[in-house]
Amino acid sequence: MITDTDTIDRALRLDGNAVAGELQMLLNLDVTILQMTCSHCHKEGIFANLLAYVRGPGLVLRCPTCDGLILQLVKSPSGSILTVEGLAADIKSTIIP
Amino acid sequence: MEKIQWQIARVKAIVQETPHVKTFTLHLPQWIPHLPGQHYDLRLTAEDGYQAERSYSIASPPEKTGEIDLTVELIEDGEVSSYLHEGIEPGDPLEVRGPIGGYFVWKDNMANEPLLLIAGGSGVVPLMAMLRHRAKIGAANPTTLLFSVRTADDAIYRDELEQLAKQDSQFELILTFTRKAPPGWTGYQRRVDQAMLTDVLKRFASHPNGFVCGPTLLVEQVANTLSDLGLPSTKIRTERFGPTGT
Repeated sequence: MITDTDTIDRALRLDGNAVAGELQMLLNLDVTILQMTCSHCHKEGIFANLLAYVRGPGLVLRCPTCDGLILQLVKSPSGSILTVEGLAADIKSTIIP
Repeated sequence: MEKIQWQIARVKAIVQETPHVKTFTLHLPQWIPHLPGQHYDLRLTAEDGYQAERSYSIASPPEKTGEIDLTVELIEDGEVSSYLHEGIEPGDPLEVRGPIGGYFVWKDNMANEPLLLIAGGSGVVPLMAMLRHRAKIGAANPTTLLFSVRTADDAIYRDELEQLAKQDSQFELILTFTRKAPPGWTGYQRRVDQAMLTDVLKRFASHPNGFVCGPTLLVEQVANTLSDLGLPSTKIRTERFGPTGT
């Protein structure tokens, strides 16, 4: 592995594009094009630009500006647990052109 | 949006692109036209039920109907890429779902606007789908691909890209070699930096649509630098590939 970086976390992080398939199956929605607001720092952005950590037992998405927790997804044999506290309050249905 | 589901694709052909990169042509029972830049997820299931999923960008243009090309770099210790490179042969089944993602895509309504593509290593794959589609629809928008590779051996699609640049006066290919340049090379021989991006941006009369794809650190550095150089953030789309290296 090439890691010209300070931490493994930084080297391994992906973005919202990487979890789009999983969320599209769950929500029947292409999440990458959603415009959203972070409930922690109130910065607006596009879902595809969120930072994604996918190598753990679940998926974690964080805000690229403040690193605040946006979304967690844990899958188990009996179902999926989706937590969206970082965006639920301010999510917009705007689809970028 | 079409509803995506897992389906069993059949491997139709495998092409060795570079020593560490292969292209897999997959025939899909349920083929959905994609936009250049979208990806498919691929899932492997072991006999004991263990599953591993990875996302791979589509390299083929939507004009290639009924099948997709996925170009995959062999990652050291990569459980999925190792299996694909060493265990898959034409005729084998593969479980995939897609096309996925509507953000990192080049749309036909961008065909009259200048286009700046920046790739590190296998980050060139979704950009190649854009270039192939652009050629198919005959777009004549000023387009530049800045492609960072370690050595000449690592330049995926190099022959096709050079051919494209030769045929199309509006398309320019700029290579930079970060580890070892070929003998006699007079072009860039370093990582993508601010001076290089300044040079590239100067070629455009107006703000281009920017697409940046590659290893996480390259993508973040390039996107930040483009922004510092005045390209509006709404014009910069990024996709991180994780630690694949350039």
